[in-house]
Amino acid sequence: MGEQWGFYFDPDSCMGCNACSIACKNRHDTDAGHVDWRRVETVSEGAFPDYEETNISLSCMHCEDAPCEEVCPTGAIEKRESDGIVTIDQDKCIGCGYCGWACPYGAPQYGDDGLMQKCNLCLDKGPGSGADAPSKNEQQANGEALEPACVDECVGDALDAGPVGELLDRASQEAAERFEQNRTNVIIDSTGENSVTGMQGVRQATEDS
Amino acid sequence: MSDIATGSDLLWIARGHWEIFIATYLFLGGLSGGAYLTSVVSSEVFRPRARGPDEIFACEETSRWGAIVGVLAIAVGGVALLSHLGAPLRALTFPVLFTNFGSWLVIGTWFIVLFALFVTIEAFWLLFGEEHAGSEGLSYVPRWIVAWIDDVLPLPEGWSIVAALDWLADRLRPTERARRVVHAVGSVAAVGVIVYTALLLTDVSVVPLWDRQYLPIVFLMSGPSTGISAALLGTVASGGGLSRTNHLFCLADDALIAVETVTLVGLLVALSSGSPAGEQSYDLLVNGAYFPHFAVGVLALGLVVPFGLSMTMTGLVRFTDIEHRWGAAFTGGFALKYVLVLAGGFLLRYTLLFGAVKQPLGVP
Repeated sequence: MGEQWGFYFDPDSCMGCNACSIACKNRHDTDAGHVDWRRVETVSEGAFPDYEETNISLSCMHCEDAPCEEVCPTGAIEKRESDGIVTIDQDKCIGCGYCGWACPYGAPQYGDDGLMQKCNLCLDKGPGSGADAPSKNEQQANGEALEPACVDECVGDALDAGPVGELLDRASQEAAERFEQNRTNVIIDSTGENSVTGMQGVRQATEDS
Repeated sequence: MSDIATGSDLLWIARGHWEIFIATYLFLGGLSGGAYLTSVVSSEVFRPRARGPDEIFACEETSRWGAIVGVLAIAVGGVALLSHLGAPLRALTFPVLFTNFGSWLVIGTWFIVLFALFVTIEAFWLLFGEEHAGSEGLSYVPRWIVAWIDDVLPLPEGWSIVAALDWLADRLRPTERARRVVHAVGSVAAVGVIVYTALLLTDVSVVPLWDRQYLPIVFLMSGPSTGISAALLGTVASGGGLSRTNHLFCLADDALIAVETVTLVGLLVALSSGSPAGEQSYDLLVNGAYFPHFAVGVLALGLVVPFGLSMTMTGLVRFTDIEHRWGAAFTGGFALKYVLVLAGGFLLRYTLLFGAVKQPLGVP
């Protein structure tokens, strides 16, 4: 398998400006309104005067064991061997919505055509594109790789993308360890300076939450 | 998702993309499989033991109604299923396009296709053939419709669609032993349709309401329960409300309702003491926006009241002769029970979809 690509996100540097989600919409010409390949969510904690908010820029996690791929009846969703990016082939999608339920992060989105589209880590431009695109590793070697629009436009340098090995060099030791425990292919870095407890990673809430 | 309370440090994920059409399909799929099973049990178990012409009539009416309801439900359910898709015409190429056999959607599609074939053949055999020419019974409505088409269409002298279908049914009718094999395979397909709809949901691990332990049992009980109710509603309409066939199926339905109720209560208990999304689903169903649909519609009117009504009528039949003096009231009572079970069965699927909450992401 080619080297896995992923995202790096530092919530302490995110100011919640939504430049990432707007840039994503612009580059991929996705429908206005309900289609958000990348979105910024705000999680609050505490009560005034000890009130804090944490911004989370969220997109497809390009999961190692992508549940959307497992349930898709037609094999339209693929976890690519060449770069680990989870893509959708809209020519095979029947718009059943099963992947929308299976994804823990709400990444699959449905356009006005009723077909699924999602973040393709800017393999290519346009809804549903990128399934047949060359490996991101190959694109990078040839100098053709598109820098993800969200990374391009991030004001606070909170987002980065690339081969996971390179991203881990930028991450803190703590973030790298968390990533190894929960390989969703998004490295969440946080020093906790900008929030009460610090964001220790986006994870599935469990019974002990 | 405005009716979900937002907890601090939890990021709630928007619900998915399944709406009323899928609730309708889940209901009709289970009902269709259950109606076919009712038809087969009536033909294979009750009909051979029937005593007297009235009881034989009631058994045969139940068999026919079960098959007719099965065909109609799977046909309407199939249309509901297709209508919610983004690319319905593409889905019709499923023999080629559906390649992921690990997906319950693919497994279920093949169950539906196999089952639709069996239930259609069953209805055809039960309605057409020389032995059915001139037979009485409300369940022969499809035969009457074809005869009406015969009259309306300007067919050449001597041509008749009913006669042609009778001829074809007699040529295709298998021996008794072969028919039993057909019933056995058809029943497996029917159970497949009933259960796969639950497994389709439980494969989504991030929705605690779609619990892998409880939901398949709930569907396995509810499908046959609604199937019995739909088929027996036809039998009651045909005049078989006071027959032994009706009583036996009604008691079988009561047993299914009892197990379903206990399982649903178990599911609620598990939800109330589980994960954040489980607690949210519990609140939605028991205290919140879907209280009228679930607590009142499903639990009270769809399960407890029909069970109580049935038990009351069964007790009166067993220990008094009031049934013969108040026949119309009993017939109405059975019809009411079946209608309530059907309404409860639909609301069950509706609330299972609309009460679904995804596990939030924790941001400690």
